[in-house]
Amino acid sequence: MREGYGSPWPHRALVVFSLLVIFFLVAPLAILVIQSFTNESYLSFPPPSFGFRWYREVFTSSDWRDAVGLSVLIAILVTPLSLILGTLAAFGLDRGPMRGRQSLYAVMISPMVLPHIVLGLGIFRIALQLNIEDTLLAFVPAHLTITVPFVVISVGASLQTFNVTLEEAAMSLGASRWRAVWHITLPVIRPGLIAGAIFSFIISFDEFIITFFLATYEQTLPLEMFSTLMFQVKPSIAAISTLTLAVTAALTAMLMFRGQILGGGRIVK
Amino acid sequence: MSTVELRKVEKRYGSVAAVHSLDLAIEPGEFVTLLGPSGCGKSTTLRMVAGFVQPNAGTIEIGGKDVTGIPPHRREVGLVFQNYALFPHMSVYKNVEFGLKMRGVDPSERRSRVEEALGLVKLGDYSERMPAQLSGGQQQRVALARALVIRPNVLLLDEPFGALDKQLRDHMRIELRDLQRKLNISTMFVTHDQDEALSMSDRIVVMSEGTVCQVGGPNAIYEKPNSRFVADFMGRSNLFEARQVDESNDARTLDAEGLLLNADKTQELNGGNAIVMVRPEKIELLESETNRDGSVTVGGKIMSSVYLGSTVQYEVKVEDGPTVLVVRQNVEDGSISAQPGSPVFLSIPHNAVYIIPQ
Amino acid sequence: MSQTQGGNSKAWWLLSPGVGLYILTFFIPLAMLLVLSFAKFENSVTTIGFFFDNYVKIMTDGITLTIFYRTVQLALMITVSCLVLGYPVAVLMRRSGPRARLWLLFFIVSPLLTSIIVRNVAWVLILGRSGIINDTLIDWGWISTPLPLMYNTFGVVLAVVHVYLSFMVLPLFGALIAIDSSIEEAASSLGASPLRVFLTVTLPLSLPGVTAGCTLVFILSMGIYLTPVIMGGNFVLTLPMLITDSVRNLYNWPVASAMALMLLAAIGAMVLLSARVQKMVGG
Ligand SMILES: Nc1ncnc2c1ncn2[C@@H]1O[C@H](COP(=O)(O)OP(=O)(O)OP(=O)(O)O)[C@@H](O)[C@H]1O
Ligand SMILES: [Mg+2]
Repeated sequence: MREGYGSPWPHRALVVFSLLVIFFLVAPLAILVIQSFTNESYLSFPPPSFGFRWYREVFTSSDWRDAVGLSVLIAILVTPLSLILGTLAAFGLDRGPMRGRQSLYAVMISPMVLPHIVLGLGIFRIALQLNIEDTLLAFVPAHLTITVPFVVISVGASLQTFNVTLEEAAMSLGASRWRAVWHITLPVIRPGLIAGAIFSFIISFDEFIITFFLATYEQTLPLEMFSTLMFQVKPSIAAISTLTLAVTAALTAMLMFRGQILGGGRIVK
Repeated sequence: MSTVELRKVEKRYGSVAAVHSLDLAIEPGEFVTLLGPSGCGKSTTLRMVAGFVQPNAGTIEIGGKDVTGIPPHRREVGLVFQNYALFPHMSVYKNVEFGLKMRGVDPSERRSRVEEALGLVKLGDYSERMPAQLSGGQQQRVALARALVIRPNVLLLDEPFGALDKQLRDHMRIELRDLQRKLNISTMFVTHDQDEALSMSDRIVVMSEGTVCQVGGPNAIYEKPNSRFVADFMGRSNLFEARQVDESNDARTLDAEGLLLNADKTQELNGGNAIVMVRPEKIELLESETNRDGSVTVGGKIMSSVYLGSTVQYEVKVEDGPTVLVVRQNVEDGSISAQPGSPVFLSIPHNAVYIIPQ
Repeated sequence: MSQTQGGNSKAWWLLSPGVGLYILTFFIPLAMLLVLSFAKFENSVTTIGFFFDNYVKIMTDGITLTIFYRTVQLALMITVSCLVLGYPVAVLMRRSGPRARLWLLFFIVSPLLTSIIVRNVAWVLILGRSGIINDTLIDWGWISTPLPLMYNTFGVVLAVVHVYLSFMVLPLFGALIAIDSSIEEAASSLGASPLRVFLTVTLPLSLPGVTAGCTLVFILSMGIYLTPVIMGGNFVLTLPMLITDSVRNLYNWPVASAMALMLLAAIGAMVLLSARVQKMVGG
């Protein structure tokens, strides 16, 4: 809090306005969650009666189950691969010569600046060429392309604050480079690794447009939700949305309250 | 056999030589300090011994074994860094144990050796603390224990006290030196603080721009620097260009920029000209002209005086001569009126006049 | 640190798996789009070559260009809305104590990681023809027919702002927190009122963050597909929708590729413009 900066009235207005903005961000999701527990066959607010009817429906429907299964499968494949590729690249950037580091960094995060619609179009094209569209062979590398930059960034930020003399100390104590990295560097930069993993999982799990191009018969969860939504707005969509929300919110909270977003939480200290 | 021996070691970064044709040997149990201004190649030398920097030429031996191409983890050196470099995710105990684990020492022996090492640095009660819960001095002691527990051939320290405050630094100096003597471990110590070098070392290696300027005991380095650079770097000194104007049986008379000085004749004078050094604390400050045996006395005027607590530093302009720096212990209770402008006499003993060899 | 990081060029090899992936999924596909955009598409047959037909078509058919302008317009509306909503929040975040700041950050950042489609669903439930608002108003007898809250630009902008607000607030907050508060204190000690301190010191010094946030949100908004489809029905068309349609329904890769490159060109222009502005405001 800054003293003597701004009289109470403008400050109060600022607080009220910000709370309204946060209400705008949060309220729709809260309403969604509440509506998902309706016992009726239609959506209304507040629901006349509550129950788990639509959750049962979601859990017993094979369409939803298959979609969730595929999404989880892809995310589970993507997360470790993304972590490995991104961490290797972040180490390479950190340990390589100063010269050219900037441009190579730009290359490693370049898929981020491209609209996913263009990326999806391009990947669809090459997948058609290789005849792998609608398979994991297309889904996984496509998702990796958008998740790896996040790992490069989060692990890279951790490595930047990592003191390399720790690794040297370990080596002087008899650890080979590889063991020093394993026993010292990786544990110390673990927050960055966790952040990278969580980002990868969530981004892959939520990815829509690229998968939309690639998938014809296979349906990931976002695709299934989209086609259901286009068809009709049923309470089941609120239930599945709430489930998705719960998973991502849990992961996000983990990320936030371990203070790992925005460079190790230094900004919030 | 020397513990560490560097022969004609060379390290270049691009076209600049960080270390140039360096020869150096450290004898068993010896405490050797690398001293020099920033960027002179001290750390580079140390890091070549540790194995983190590969020399472009020359060889390095540790314990009689050529280790030139060998990676750091197989060199048996104990390394202590300025920033301690304790592993933040491990307790004090785990930190110290790390090197033994990497060597596959069995657990029971590990425990006793870690406890012994922590005892040596008086941190036996702190083994379960995390590094962040220790003070700077304690952290540095853990770093020391961690380096010593592996029983290295040589202990390497790169400005280990640089991050500590002055009082603690003075204390740690004594502690490190005692420990080093007790364990009789060969030690290579890097600093740019001359007091530290003078107070701890068996031998000091003064470096400048990648080369060794002088190697010798603290006394020799301070009293008998072999170059203007060393004289200048090792504390305050008066340096004058001088030429011989007279010669007697046991002394030479030198004209030092207008100041006439007598120097012991045992000192060689190559050619007619030389640079002479007079340490400011060896000059006496007198209120009246008093001639003493073995000294010259000249008159001058105080230009400035700086009060430094235990000492007072004066600048005295000699009549028709140079300005001379004089440092006196702050013991006389105001017997010298130190006002700028007041006339004084300087008494300079013959044996305080040192001719720097060319 | 710099000594060991001075660099071992062997370390570059660690990049190779990532670069290898990008070559397959990023560089080659982009090159293919570039080549395709100059191909000819006649009677459902694509002929590779160096033709400008596709570019001529999208410039002259009257529809593509209009939709392109609409997309730019929509992106601008979204950007401005995000700025207006986000700036005060960023200012408050800067002024808050650590705990309050962490909570604000949580609410701002968590949407970044919440599925876009989930959030669109939420808006459909609120703004839809039989969404909460219309239901309630009809219940209360205030209106007899549902208000058109969705399937129009308003609904799309609202839902996209909900998604992209974080991308605005974070750079704004970054720029604001970097301002040395002693500069503001100096200004007010010299007699400036709080409003004047804000207008003459805080606001100008935060302009690099404003530029960064606006650029980011604008670029992201140019590529939106999902939200206009869900929230706009077929009433709000964007270039990405056109691209998707060309490929998925018309199989006209050459035209789709040309449109994709048009989109990239617009984004590239925005990046260049932002770099210039950034230089001017001293970022
Ligand atoms: N990795 C490197 N790349 C390029 N030049 C280097 C590198 N490491 C050291 N140098 C250069 O080599 C010279 C010697 O550096 P070194 O670190 O050994 O100096 P130092 O005596 O330890 O100095 P200080 O007292 O400041 O620590 C310096 O000029 C430095 O700039
Ligand atoms: Mg150094």
